[in-house]
Amino acid sequence: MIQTLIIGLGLAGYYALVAVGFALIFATLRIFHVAHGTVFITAGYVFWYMHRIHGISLAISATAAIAAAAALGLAIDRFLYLPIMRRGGGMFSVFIASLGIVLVFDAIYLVLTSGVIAVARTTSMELWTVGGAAIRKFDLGIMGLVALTYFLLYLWLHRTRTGLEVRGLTDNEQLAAAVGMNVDQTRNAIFLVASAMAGLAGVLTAYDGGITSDSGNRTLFIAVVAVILGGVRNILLGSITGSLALGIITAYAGFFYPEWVTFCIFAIMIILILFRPKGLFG
Amino acid sequence: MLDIRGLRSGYRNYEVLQDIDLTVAEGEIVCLLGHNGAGKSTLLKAIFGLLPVTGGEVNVAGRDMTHARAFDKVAMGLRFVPQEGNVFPNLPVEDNLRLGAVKGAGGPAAVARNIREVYGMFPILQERRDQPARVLSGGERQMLAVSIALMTEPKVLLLDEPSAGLAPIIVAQLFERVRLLRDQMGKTVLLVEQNVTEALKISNRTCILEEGRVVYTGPSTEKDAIVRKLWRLD
Repeated sequence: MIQTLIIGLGLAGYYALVAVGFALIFATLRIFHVAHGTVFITAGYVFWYMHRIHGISLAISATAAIAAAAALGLAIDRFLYLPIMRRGGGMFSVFIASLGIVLVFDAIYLVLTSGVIAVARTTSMELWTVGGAAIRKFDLGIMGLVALTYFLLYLWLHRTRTGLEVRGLTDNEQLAAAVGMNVDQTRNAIFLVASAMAGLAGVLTAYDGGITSDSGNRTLFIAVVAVILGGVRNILLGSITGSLALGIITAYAGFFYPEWVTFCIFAIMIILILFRPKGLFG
Repeated sequence: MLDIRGLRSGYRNYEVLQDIDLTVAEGEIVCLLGHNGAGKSTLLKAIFGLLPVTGGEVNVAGRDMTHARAFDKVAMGLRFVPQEGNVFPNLPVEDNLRLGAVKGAGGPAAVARNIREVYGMFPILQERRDQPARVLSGGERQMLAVSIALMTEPKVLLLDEPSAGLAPIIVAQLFERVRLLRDQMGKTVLLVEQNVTEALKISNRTCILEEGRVVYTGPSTEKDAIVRKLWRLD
């Protein structure tokens, strides 16, 4: 049982990395950035391609993949969302455009990989046996990495000027412009940071269980459910609690009834939205 | 200090302001009166660059700032205090002040000095420095809103109905502060108001807007003429 719990916490780590970026973008800019999943999976493929196919070192491949994710996230905002908003497009138009990006990239990755799962790992996972339970060191590593990322994100939000601007933008967008904030620059920072975190999750997922062309959407929607569950009032706390809950549910459901995992997550989402229709917005 | 010529602006498909001419000299408070929908708030937003300007020009300290973006205007010494939503409700008072200084306030030392100065002027804000702005009373919130704008040591302040929703005694206190901003710190103020009596007490000149046009400009001591014009008694 403890084994399953650890796996659940590891999963929660991936979700949390994707969820917190999604929440950050949604809370500050009111963009329902479904292409965040595309950013996640792009990092996974870049990492897989460099590390597994070309044998480039883990560190270089991972760094390049995270950088690619950050660049892609930024580009989606600069060349798609921002022009749409400048031309008077609302939240819904931006969402549709985002969905378009998802479908285009899905198609590209499906063609390029022929739908075969891409596992970036080249060695087997080391196990630790603690009191009869086999625990993967990798899961513990993920937890440490996520904790560190969240800690750095906290410092960024609460100890830097850009972080202060991000919090200001979340709280009162109109006043943010009136106090002289360069909102476009702050936006860039938000997309870079959020996308890099999704990139890290993509790298870890590709390394661990592998990815297919639809892994991005799946992870993104789980992250969205996590954000609905945790709320966006407190970005860090909300996304981590939501992700923890879903990670553990997924792991236990996966252990007992693996075929019902997807059902569980999305049934939770539907029920949540039914009873807390303002969940994401409130 | 603030020189507006032939300004035209408004919302999408609807031009509110028509050929506005208005000058505010350095160290002067000019009060902008008019009925609801006369275009007072629209004028402040257009001057500050939050609404598109379709004609005319806005000069600040002799520089053409008509199409400059809001953050460039802040850097040039122009600040706007909106009537509503003028604080960051969920952030502590001190973070509100720091956010007031994100553009054109100089380094951390200058920011710290300005925060001290604001606390000197409004001691209640220092007492509440760690509390979120949403718990402040109406008067305290307006003090914070003005203080956020003071963080960059601006030359020109655009105040949109700072007295809205405040008790008369609080209005008097707040306006006394605005007067001190001019008398002690030499600030130039363009003040939109509904509270005619208090606004006339502290302002040098008054300007009345009606349907997006300036229909009267004169010294604020001409109270009778202003009231007659405002209530269309002439």
